[in-house]
Amino acid sequence: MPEEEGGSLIHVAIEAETLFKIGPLSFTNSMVGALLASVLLLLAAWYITRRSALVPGRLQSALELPVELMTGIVAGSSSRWRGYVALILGFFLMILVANWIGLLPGVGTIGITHVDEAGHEAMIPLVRPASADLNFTLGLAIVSFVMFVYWGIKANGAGGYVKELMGEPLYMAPLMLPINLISELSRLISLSMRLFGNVFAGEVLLATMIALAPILVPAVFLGLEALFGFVQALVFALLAMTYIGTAIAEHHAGGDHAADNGHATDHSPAAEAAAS
Amino acid sequence: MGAFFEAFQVDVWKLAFQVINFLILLYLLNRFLFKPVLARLDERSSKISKGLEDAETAARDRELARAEREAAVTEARKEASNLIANANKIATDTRNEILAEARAEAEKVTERARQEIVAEKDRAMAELRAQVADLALAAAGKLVRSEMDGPTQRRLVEEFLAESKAANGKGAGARN
Repeated sequence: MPEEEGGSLIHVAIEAETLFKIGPLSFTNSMVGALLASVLLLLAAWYITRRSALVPGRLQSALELPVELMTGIVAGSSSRWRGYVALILGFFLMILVANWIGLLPGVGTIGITHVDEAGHEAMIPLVRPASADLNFTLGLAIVSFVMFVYWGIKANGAGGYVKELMGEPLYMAPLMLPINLISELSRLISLSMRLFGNVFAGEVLLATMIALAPILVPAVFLGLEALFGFVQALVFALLAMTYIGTAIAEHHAGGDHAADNGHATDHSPAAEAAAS
Repeated sequence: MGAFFEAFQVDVWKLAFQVINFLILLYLLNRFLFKPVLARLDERSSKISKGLEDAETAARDRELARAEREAAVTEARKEASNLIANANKIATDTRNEILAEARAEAEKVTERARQEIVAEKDRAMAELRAQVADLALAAAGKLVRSEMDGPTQRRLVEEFLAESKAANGKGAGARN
């Protein structure tokens, strides 16, 4: 927990703090968080697949559980779920681990002391949960944006995608095109800002609680934050899935169109409700 | 917009770092985690569906076997009742045959007996007739003896004997 001379007791920087610089490139503590999350995930993956039995052991099935759970959800979203299931699983697992890293003891409290130009002494945490950095959440949102545009173009063709943006009666295009463009772009912002806001707020809340009542009380909020971290990961992944699912389903002629659309819209209200 | 990104310290480098980190992670996870786990899930679900299918097949087979057994039992029962009916028929026929035969035999026996009786009666009648003739002769003899006994009769008898002897001897001599 950072201390500030004469300032408030609680300080969580809104931006990821730079640990060191190599030339023009600055390395932040959220990058450390992202790398740590990646390493943890790869270790878990290695453990699961190391000797994978058809009838898994207890730890193996516990680690497989989130993958199975998400696969089950994604498989219900569209008949072409195999094309994007890896992406959704990746979003979910990466965000989940990145969120939960903020709950580990030492994260946010172990750091290097930094003295700025004004002489203020501040502690910069070594690790910051990656999802408490807008770079991370925006990066993931950009990936998902690119993917659902890509899937939309792949399913309906470039012309079909543009036609879809222009709206149904063509004479309404001048009105509908900007609205649809804004709607598409707003997904980018909503995805990234929702995740960032939740995790960052969680970090601030935890820091506040630890500062106010260092014993027992933070444990409750740690539990809550664990839940929120899970929910936010789920929300991000499910929204990305829904966007891709609708991009595939819309104007996709054929018998499975209705089924695809139905599934996609089945999931979206739940996802939106969870998001709010 | 610039100020917004400034406030959050968003820049291309940090963004690129996160995106590239995520993409590399995604590639590795997909290769080493998702694909094997998905394959295993598929395998498991196919195994389960195969198991269900097998169970269904087994149930169907059992049902088939039961029907077969029932059919066999019905068949056997029918066969048995056929056999019994046949046996009954044969027994009735045999009995009738035997009865007819017995009746015929009895009739034959009766007929023979009747014939024997008739023959016996005829023989008895013949015998009776002979005896009656003898008696009549004897009676006649008695009557005749009383009329002509003594030397007259003897002479008559001797003459008769001699005549018959002579006839016999002549005949024999001519033959010899």
